[in-house]
Amino acid sequence: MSHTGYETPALIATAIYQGDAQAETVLFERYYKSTLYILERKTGDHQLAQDLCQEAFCIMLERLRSQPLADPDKLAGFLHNIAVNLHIADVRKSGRRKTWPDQELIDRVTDKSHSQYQTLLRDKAAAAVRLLIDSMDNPRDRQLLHGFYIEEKDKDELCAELALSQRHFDKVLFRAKQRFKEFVLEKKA
Amino acid sequence: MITEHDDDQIDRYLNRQLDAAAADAFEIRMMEEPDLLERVQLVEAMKQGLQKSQSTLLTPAPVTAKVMRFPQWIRQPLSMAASVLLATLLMRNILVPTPATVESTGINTVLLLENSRGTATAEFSGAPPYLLQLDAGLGNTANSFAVTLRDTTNNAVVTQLGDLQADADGWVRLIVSEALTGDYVAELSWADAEGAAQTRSFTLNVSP
Repeated sequence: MSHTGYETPALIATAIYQGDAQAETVLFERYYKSTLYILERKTGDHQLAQDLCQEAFCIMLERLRSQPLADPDKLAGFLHNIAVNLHIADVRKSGRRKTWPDQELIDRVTDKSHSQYQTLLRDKAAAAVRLLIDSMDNPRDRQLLHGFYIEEKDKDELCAELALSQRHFDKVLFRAKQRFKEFVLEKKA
Repeated sequence: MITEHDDDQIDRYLNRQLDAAAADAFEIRMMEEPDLLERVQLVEAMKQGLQKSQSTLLTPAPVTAKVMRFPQWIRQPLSMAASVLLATLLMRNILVPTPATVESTGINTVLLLENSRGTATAEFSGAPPYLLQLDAGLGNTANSFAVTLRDTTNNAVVTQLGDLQADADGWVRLIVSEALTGDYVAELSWADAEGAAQTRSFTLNVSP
């Protein structure tokens, strides 16, 4: 969603400092999904990641409302730092949840911004992978996917093993991802 | 737009092969670029899907065939065309004697010229015929390509061929029958979407 007047991180940060409530909503819409994803990867726990993400946004909001950022263009970096520090603190000490005064805003925006794309991926990934595998006629390409994504072998090692150039390797992977995306977006997947 | 380099970074990120600083920088980029985040989620979903289907992945692709009754088969457009072609060939065979076998050319050496080599000279050794395979770039949709191979010692044209097509992976191929020894430049040229002339040069050294 695009909002006029909030095109850059610096405009969002400045507007929040000036008391613009709409800018706070834009902040959530723009960064919540990615911050939650990063925390999910770090914690491996969706519920914990949600808690940490909400906490990170509350800290961010309090900070932006009270004091302008030294480098407002690095808004994402600042938020990332808060999220990572919260995760580190959480690893050290669990059970430190608390209720924040902005809970209502968070709930409203996070419900809305819950990733439809992730839902689509979750629902269609299995069928799309089947279509992807069926569409791969070359056994070497299948071996490449197996070696890279399942055995998690190193790219150089796999290239040597399958007698492939790095460029060919990149192409096979790139094409597989493009096909997978097409199958996910296709109705029949 | 996501590039192959981005994809490489994504794979490294998902495989936790980036160091802490690079991972942080990548995550901040993900926060700033929604397309990158979507691609990461896509690749992650593909990876998880492949892990669940790993037994299928190494199973050879099944050859499926639909059995049709002969009248059904003959009614298909391609079958009809094939039947006409077969009849024509049979007639030709009766009227004009043809050689018993199709002529084929064996390849002794593949000369793979990739753009990733940059300006470095590619070294090859082997006998002719050569399969000269030039990198036109992934996604290059030019209608046709021309290739000129020159001997750099005297700038003589060894071979020149136009109206070549690139395959889906951006490779342009031709067979060179003449024996090569020494330094050469292979020049690949085409017209881009705006009609502007584009060229790519590859230097190579071939020894017998």
